[in-house]
Amino acid sequence: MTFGDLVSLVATAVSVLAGFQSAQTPQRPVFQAGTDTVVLDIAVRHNGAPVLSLKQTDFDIVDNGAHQTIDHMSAETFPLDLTLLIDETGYGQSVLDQITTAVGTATDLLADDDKVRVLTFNATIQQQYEGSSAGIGPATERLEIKGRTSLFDALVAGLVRKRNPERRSVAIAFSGGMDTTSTTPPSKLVEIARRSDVVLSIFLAYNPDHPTATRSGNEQYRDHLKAAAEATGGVVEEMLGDSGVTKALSTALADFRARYALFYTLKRSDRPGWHDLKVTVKGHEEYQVLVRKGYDGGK
Amino acid sequence: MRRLVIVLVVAVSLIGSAPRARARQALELNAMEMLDLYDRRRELALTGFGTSLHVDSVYSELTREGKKWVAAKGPAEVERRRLVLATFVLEVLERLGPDREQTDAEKDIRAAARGAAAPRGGGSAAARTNQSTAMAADTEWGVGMRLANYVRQQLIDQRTPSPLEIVWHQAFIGLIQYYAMKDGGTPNTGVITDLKIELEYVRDRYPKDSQFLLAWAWGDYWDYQPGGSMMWHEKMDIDHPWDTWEIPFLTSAEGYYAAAIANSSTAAEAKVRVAEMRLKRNDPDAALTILREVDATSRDREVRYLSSLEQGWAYDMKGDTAKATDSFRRALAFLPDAQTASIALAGALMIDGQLDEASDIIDRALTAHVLDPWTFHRYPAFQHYPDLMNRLREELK
Repeated sequence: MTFGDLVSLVATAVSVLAGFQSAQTPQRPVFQAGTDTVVLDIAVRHNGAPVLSLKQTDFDIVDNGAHQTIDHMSAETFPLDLTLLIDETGYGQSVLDQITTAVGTATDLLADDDKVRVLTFNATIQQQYEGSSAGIGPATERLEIKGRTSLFDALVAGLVRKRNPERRSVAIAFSGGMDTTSTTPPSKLVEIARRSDVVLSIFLAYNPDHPTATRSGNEQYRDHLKAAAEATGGVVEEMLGDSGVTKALSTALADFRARYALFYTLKRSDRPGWHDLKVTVKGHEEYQVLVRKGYDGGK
Repeated sequence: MRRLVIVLVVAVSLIGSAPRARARQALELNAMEMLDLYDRRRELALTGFGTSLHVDSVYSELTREGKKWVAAKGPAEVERRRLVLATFVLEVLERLGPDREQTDAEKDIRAAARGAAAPRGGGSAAARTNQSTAMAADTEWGVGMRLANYVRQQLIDQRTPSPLEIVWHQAFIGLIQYYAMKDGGTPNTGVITDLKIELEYVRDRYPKDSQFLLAWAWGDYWDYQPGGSMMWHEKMDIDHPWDTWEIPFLTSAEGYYAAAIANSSTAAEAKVRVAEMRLKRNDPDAALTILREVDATSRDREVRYLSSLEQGWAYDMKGDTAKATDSFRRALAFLPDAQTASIALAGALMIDGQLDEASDIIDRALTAHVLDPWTFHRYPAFQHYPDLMNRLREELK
């Protein structure tokens, strides 16, 4: 079974469903004809740390207002299809240098079979690298702080990613949080994020020479960034302190690996249109559940 | 006399005089010697230009000895040498301040202006260590403008401007636009004031010429520092049309664009820019009317790209996703893989559930390195700077 089987609506890929059925192992569910399977990619945190010991019966899924019966849960680790987005503006050269150092040594945090793409952006977006995790280092060696920022456009470039059936698609953005040149309006970014299969986490840093000014200047887009990331099941967090970047990167990657896949089935007639989702852990209101806020069931 | 005005590092093989063991040598030239070299051996001068420029020294030497240099070869040469000196000053101005191009487009333009290929993907470590501080760059620019003013004083001695002089002004205006915008999200208003000084000079010099209306409009548009709904001029944020109280600033720029529409050489670009203002006023129908005129009259593929792109945004504002998508596709037909239209189209397709096509479009746009005319939005005249400089260099030989 591939990760694409897990995270996509099976109804939108009947052939994938067929593959899933034929490859199933005894502990995995049997999917009935005429119904559609939904698979949710979920992370659970408590006080910032991943909660790893949950069982299928611990979760409560509400899809368009209806409680769902979970057919199966998987806590498998899948190879990542990772996009790293690096803002070349807004937070000063010292922060950018920390980011490039952290990304350059990210090989240590990645598995051999992870695929990595590095995008850098200022007013335009550039793909610096795409390949195995082993080759990531040189891609970020020579980055410099350069003026204007198309953050929203860059996030679109990270979110519009073809589904890779073998992998979990994730994106990590390092940014100063400002946007000065995008042509993608904030509402469109959020709309695209809602429909993306990529889990996006955004880490914000501020210019250490002007932390108050840059932070308040960047607040205007904070809500939009939060809405976009949370729509995918990701987060927006600040990178603080000297080791903030490394910690953010390692935490994000650990989060992406420590996720649950929950399967449930819908009647075909219930499938079309937009589905609002709410997932909780029963008896643990204090847990933070990171999951996409909905999905498009097709036409 | 101050030496070390310009440290010219040349390959000695070019001047053919040193033993192989000393294949490279640093020559220290003052500004007048450099100007002489620029006049006689232009390619050689351009090779060494910019290694280390002391604009203060260039200013003091040119203002002291420039007039003498212009007159040195007799009356028949005065007009040409005056423009050589003026063009030499542009070469100096272009090299002021740090090499901090914001985009590959800027890098390409500056490299083309210097006759070299631009490195891709980040600057070199050497470039980083040579960067001045922003404050030093501002100071240098201030001296540079005094230098430009000195040039204007020389040019005005030529009662009837030569056909080539207007090329010098076009190039200078492009350079000012670049310097006004190069340091971040908001323009340097001091440099925009320099632009207006130059435009007023040009208006007096060429009272019947309307080609500079686009630059006037640009100056008015960027001179406005909004603090309201539309904080950034360059964004096309259709979620946030400009507030009513901001519209007078658009009106001022639109007035110049309207005049530029009457001139056939500037009409198409003026219309595209007026349409952009209409979008920012939340008036997509008016924008579409203007852009249809552009489509009917212009065959310039970059103009048609911009027209189609803006039509896409206009239809998006009207909620007509199908027509928006068609417009973005049309834009890419004029300029395949251009990033702005690619992102707009991919976003529209993604929302429509066409993920695979959207993803392919993004993948191509991220690796194609197509110069996108929308990125020239902030300095429309600067994109022509390399061609204008090449023309000056050639015709002044």
